[in-house]
Amino acid sequence: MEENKQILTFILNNEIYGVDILRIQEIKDVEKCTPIPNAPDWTLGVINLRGSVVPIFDLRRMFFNYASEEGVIIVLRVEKDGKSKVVGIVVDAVSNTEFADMAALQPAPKGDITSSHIFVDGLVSIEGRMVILTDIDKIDFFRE
Amino acid sequence: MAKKILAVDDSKSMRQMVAMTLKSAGFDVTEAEDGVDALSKANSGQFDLVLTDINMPNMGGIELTTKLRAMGSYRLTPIICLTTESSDDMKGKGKAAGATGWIVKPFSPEKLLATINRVL
Amino acid sequence: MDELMLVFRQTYLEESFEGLAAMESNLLTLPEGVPDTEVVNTIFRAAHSMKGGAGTFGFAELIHLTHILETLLDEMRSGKRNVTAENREALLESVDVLRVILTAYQNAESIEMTAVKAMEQKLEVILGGASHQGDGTTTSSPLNTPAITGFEIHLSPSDNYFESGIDLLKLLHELSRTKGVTKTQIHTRLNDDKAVQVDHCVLAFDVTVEGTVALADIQEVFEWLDSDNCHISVDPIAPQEAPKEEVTVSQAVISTAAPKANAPTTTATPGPQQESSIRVSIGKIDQMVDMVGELVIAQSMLSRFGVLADQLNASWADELKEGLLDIERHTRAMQESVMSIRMMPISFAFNRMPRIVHDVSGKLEKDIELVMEGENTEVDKTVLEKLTDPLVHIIRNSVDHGIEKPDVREANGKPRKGTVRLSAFHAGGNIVIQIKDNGAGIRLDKVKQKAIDAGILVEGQVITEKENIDLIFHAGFSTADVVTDISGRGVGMDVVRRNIRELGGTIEVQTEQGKGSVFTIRLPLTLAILDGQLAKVGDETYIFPLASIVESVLPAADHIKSVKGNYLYRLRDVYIPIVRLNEFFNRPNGKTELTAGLLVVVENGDKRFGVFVDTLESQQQVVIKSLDTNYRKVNGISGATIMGDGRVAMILDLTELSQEID
Repeated sequence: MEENKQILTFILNNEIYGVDILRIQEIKDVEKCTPIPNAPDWTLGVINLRGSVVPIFDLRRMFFNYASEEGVIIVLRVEKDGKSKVVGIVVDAVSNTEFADMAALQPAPKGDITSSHIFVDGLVSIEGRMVILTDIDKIDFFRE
Repeated sequence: MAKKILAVDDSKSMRQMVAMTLKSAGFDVTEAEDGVDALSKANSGQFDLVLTDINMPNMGGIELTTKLRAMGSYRLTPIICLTTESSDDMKGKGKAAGATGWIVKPFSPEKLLATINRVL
Repeated sequence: MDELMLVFRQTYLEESFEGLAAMESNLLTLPEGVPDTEVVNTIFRAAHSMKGGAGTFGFAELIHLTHILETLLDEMRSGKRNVTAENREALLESVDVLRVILTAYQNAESIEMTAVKAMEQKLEVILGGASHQGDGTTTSSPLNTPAITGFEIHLSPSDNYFESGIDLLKLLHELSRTKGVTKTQIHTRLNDDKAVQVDHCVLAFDVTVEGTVALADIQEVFEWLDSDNCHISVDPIAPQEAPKEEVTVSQAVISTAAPKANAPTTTATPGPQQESSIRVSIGKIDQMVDMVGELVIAQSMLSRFGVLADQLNASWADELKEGLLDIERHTRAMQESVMSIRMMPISFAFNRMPRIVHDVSGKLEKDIELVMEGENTEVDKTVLEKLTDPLVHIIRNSVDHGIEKPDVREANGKPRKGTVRLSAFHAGGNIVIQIKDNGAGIRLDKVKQKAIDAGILVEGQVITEKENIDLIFHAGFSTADVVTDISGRGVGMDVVRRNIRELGGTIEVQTEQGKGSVFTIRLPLTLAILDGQLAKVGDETYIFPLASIVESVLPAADHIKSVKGNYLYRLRDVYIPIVRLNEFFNRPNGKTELTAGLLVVVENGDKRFGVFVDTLESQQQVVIKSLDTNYRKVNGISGATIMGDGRVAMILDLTELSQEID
């Protein structure tokens, strides 16, 4: 069992979330996307990432029902049906890289009020703040 | 650091078996499907052991062994041939080309590990 | 059985089926007489791999048959046996038997061993008929006298022992664990007569092994050592004085093999006039295709500066433009050569056909010659993979419905033997594949009647000859009076046409009563690059495949007709349906008034329709990137591309758009 996992923390809906740093490819400013026809509204479209066509998903619209012009794109790798895909997620801001003590991981409270609980792995306290660790593969970005 | 092994066989099932057996024993295994593939993989990384089938399309195990031995970085690397030819002819050819040893198919995972143990 | 073994077994089955297919196609092309070493080698390897895995993965029923098969093929490839019609048929038959066994394993059914045994016997008879060469190898020495209580082993590594890579201490450890060993004693001594040098092995070992041990087991431990790297002697210890006997492990092997050892290396080295080749993984090539695509994009970005420089009246404008032209030329050349790497000879698809013709014509008692031309014509790998099934279907059809029985042919003044000609060639930026038979031709009146019976046509409806022929591509259509088990297997010509369209190709048929039919398939050279027409809808850019555009028209108000909310446009004498991209894609963009925009008239298969856009922009070659790579398939979109300005644009899938209007 891994003890200290390095994570990237980011802000979403005024809370601190964390994602495994090994998944991160890069962080970008929000840019204009080419819309994908008939996609859900949280699918902003696709961008050209050095020659790859990468879809961008706004987690705020997806889980918290708000939109904002501000924000950053975190480009990361997700696993879908055994295949690796590169996607961008839009969050309010990127915070820091930290070490999370996985031994002290607490389960997420049952019956979380937000719909975001589906991708929550657990809670961990870093320097007195509560960080919500996410399992990015649990988000179904590709549904119609 | 886990020892790196290059497993070469045109038969996918055999390759899979060899690879899984070795991986479960803690080795770092790279697969190649013939001599040509193996040679290019051997070129792009240093392996501690090469396990190769003899009869393969494009480039067989004997030729692969000869070519590896000609590369400075594989002059001393153990090379083991996997062969169904129980005839001594193939073992001899392998040896002459510079192979360290051989394993005769069919073999069990245990036999594979025991044999590898001679050189790693 | 553990789960892992099940996975291995499944893989083994899959690759064995592939191996059988390879054996079959190669056997069919194998000429009688002195064997073609290359071809026999390929067949041998397939049998050999099957045998190797059969033991390992527990497919006991296969072992003996594959073993005999391997022996027979080995005799052929080493030139000891010629190919005859008889043994080739037997080999083909064993392919069938093996396929039955594997299928039974696959479906967890019991295996009919009588057929297997019969096949084994048949092959053994063939094998027995040849002069048997002595196999040269002598089995283990007959030293195993029961009186032996152990062995004394002397190991004297040579100076360069370390180069062998074999860990002597591990061998000694292995020795101590050999069956029957009760005690091992190892004495290490300095090899006195050797000068000490850092990379030399100066140690020698005297080992005493006690227990009832078989010599063969001891030999096996040291099997990798030979006189080159280590002198080894194994002496049995007998209770009484036993004659000392020295066994030099493996040495005999080396001396017999040595003269032959060079042979395979010399033959494998390509001669100077031979074209040499290397195998590269498809992933690497696709990466290269991608990078060249990037280069094309970068180049088109740069080329805009040439125009800009002209507008600025810059003194260096001409030089810049010249340089840019150079880059463009080289980029194109590079793109072409990279694309050519993905190309494979169409023979990979053609090779399956001889067996099919052989089998089907045999079953139908027809005498048919298959002539293949242009097997070396190259097509994109993806095209090749998707082309095989349609080809098989058309060939089956030609053999089944096209060519008549010999007696019928003779009565009609034709040679008894019919001909099916399969050819491939390049024409005008396309690959053309033709399947031509000199059979009866398609009975157009029958086709028509059938269509009327099936409710596709109305009695008395007048159709052109082309429309009449095209009826065979209608879903669920079968022209044979009786649905035979040859052609009537569910897939119809409609599926054939759909597969070919998916590849961006077309198929057409010409037929002449009593003379025969020609099926002509046209395919694009490559799938990765598309000649595109850019169109705007609001601020979004969409790309049409240029080849599908018939014309574009400024819609006139009096030609627009609305039927139940669907719009039709009268183009000269016919009404064509209109697809509005913004509605189809659910985008709040672009013009709504039809007369304010443009109608792009496209043809997809036999459907003609108008796609409503705001304006048309430039035409350019675009590099197709799959949306599935990082996202998923999107209805109406065949892919995306990166434009000169770095933005992504969507490429329209006209087949899916056309389904919208049905």
